[in-house]
Amino acid sequence: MLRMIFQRLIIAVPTLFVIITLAFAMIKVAPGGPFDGERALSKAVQDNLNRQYKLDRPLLEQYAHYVGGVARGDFGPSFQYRDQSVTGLIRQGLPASILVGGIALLCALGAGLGLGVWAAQRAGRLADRLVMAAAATGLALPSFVIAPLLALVFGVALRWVPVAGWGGPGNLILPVIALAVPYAASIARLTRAGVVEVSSAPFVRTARGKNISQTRLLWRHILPRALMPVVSYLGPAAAGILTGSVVIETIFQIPGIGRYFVQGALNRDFTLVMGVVIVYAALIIVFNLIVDIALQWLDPRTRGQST
Amino acid sequence: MRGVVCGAAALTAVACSGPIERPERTDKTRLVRVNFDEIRALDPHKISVVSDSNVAADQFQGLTDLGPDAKPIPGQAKAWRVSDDGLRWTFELRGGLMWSDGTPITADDFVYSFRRIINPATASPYANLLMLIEGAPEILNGAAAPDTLGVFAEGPRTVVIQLTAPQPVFPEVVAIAALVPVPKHVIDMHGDAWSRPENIVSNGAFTMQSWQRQAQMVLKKNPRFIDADTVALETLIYLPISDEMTAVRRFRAGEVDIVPTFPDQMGPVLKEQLGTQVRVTVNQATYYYVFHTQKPPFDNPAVRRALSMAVDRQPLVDSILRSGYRKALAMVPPDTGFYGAPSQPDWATWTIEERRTEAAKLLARTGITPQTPLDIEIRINTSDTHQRIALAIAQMWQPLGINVSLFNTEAAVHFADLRKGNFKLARAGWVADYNAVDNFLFIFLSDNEGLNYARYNSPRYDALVTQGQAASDTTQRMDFMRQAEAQLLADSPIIPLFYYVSKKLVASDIDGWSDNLRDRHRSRWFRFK
Repeated sequence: MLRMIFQRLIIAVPTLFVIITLAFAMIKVAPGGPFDGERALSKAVQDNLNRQYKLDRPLLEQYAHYVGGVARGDFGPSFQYRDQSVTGLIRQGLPASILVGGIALLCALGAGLGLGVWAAQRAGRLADRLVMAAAATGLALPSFVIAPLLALVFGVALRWVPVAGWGGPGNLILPVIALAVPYAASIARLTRAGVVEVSSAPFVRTARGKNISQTRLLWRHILPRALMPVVSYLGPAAAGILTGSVVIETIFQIPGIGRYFVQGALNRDFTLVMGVVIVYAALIIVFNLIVDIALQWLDPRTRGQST
Repeated sequence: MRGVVCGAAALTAVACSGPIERPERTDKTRLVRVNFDEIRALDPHKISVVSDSNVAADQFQGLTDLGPDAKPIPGQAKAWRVSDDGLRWTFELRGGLMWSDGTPITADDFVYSFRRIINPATASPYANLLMLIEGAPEILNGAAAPDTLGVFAEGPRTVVIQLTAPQPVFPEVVAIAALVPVPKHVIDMHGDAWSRPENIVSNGAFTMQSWQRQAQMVLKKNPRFIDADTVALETLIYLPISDEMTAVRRFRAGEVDIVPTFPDQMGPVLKEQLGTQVRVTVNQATYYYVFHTQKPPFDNPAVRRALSMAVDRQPLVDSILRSGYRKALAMVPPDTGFYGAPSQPDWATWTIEERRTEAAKLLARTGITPQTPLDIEIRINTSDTHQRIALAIAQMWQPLGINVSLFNTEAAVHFADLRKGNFKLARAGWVADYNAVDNFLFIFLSDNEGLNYARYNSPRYDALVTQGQAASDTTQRMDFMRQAEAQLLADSPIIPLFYYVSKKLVASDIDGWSDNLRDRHRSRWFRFK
């Protein structure tokens, strides 16, 4: 196990390097620059800005300069937010994204697992169909529909919670729900499918024959195997949910980094986009590693082995 | 993406109509103002968008300031005079001026600040506003040192600015938020980090209290502001809300007091729900189509003229935009400083049928008829409104033998293409920096690289604008400008379509709000009833 972790961490460095290089190339291929906008700038002003941000230098020099900075932990200056470093912007925004995303992930896990198991135990009956229909709806409804609806009903009409904003615990309620719904729906579906499938496996029938209690059967024998698809799903899902959603952050005005990716790309804020890409890639690598460790632990065939 | 968000949200908003009551106000010294988006710079010399400018204008004050009606009034200077030739402006500073940290403000602070704006190392997006000051063009191009700029201190309380051409509205120019003074002593200490919330020192009605990026900015009344006794608000909060519908919902819930814009299609519903809290005012800003005048077929003025003539503007503002926009037949909006009645094209009074007939004749002469049609592409930047306008225009042109296709790109690509000349016909817009005709007409000067997307090159136009700019007599100046615009309209490098409006939501208990052409609203004027 330790060797696997070590190997994966060693591979992570060139992986990140390749991602940085590809992302840099893609950003530079895209037409338009950070200072092209509705308000036109005179050529002299445009030239001065390009010089200031070294955009007048050859591409290779820009690339070397950027990679050198990243190696030192410096993601460079933002092109849109003057006098701000990308590292600083991400450091300020990431905690908000992680807070909302983390709570949403926990809620999604609780609701998804609970409903999935509950439905699986009633497979084929009305309760199961209702839960699965609800899950399908949750998956199908895009967050840009759920989010404004929630704000309108609970914020404007009922005045139970703030419409949007940041600061109090009340501000977390709507974005967490809007963010958690599709994830909870996915988890419920995966859990139900897993539990139903494993429940009919020969080893479970054998266990049933041995008169083991229902609870013990579920927790010790069915769930560890049934949850493997859920765990695989959680790796990229966690990285996605923790780095923020542009829709949720925009509608509920959450000061996270989710919107930096889309806004940064639209504004050609090269360094900001690169910074978010690196954070996202690093999280994906970490969570995929955690998932692999969890899968090894869950799978009775590999559990307890030292490799 | 944002369009989808807006569309879905608008639907849900329409679903619950009827008048909306906002909750009772508890704190009458605290105002919450929404900004279009998170600001991009706190350093006033590096601001680039309207949101930045709102905050800078509340934190800083220039030689002059803008009243509630956006007319120039004394700011840090109590009075000013101009020499007979209109070139030398002398500003007398008020006594007792102080930065928010208590350091006195002198004329040297202004000299330092103007030099800093024009210094290429600052890379100020608004540096070109100083181009009419002696020495500015050479400094901006790196050919001269910043201390050669024609701005001088004559003693501690007198600032002298030497222009190369008269500018009757110069007192309004120096009120612009990008041209305010900045504290040299703080910049010397912190460098570029001087504008961080923990370091920033200002001289305006409000000072920085705290800023959580993308969440909220809290400004406090500045007790050292020269007119502090006239400022009613103790706390001013700026919320960056880029989603227009989120801002509208928060206004309806009573969480915010001023919203800077709302989606066009929401106008009628909001009017019904919010009544007089919906404020729509015409603006000094023009929406136009621009031809690449060096590329066929638009190198032929007759083709450009025919296409401009054949666009019926009224249905665009009535049926597509709906929120009170005005149609435009000329580049300069009505009521622009000293201009009086703007120039109009010779066909302005014709009926649309007459215009279409003449347009068909003009096009037929160049071989374009419904039987031998011309394929053209209109370039727009991604937006539902731009698209609907382009489609409507395409329909108006179709009977003339013009087959239109749309080419839609995001803003960064669109405007880069306009700058580089990768287009034949495209959508563009201009918002005036200050209330002057030349701030519209300078765009089409042949040497205005970067802004003259049309590559319009008319020696007569250049001469008229330059003569106008050189004239110190206002009547004479306006006469030249009117002739210049007439020339522009005759050559038709652009199709002016309509003048923008500003669309605001302003809480009904706010006093001191005044709708104005310039769409400038300093928070120092606001108080609650």
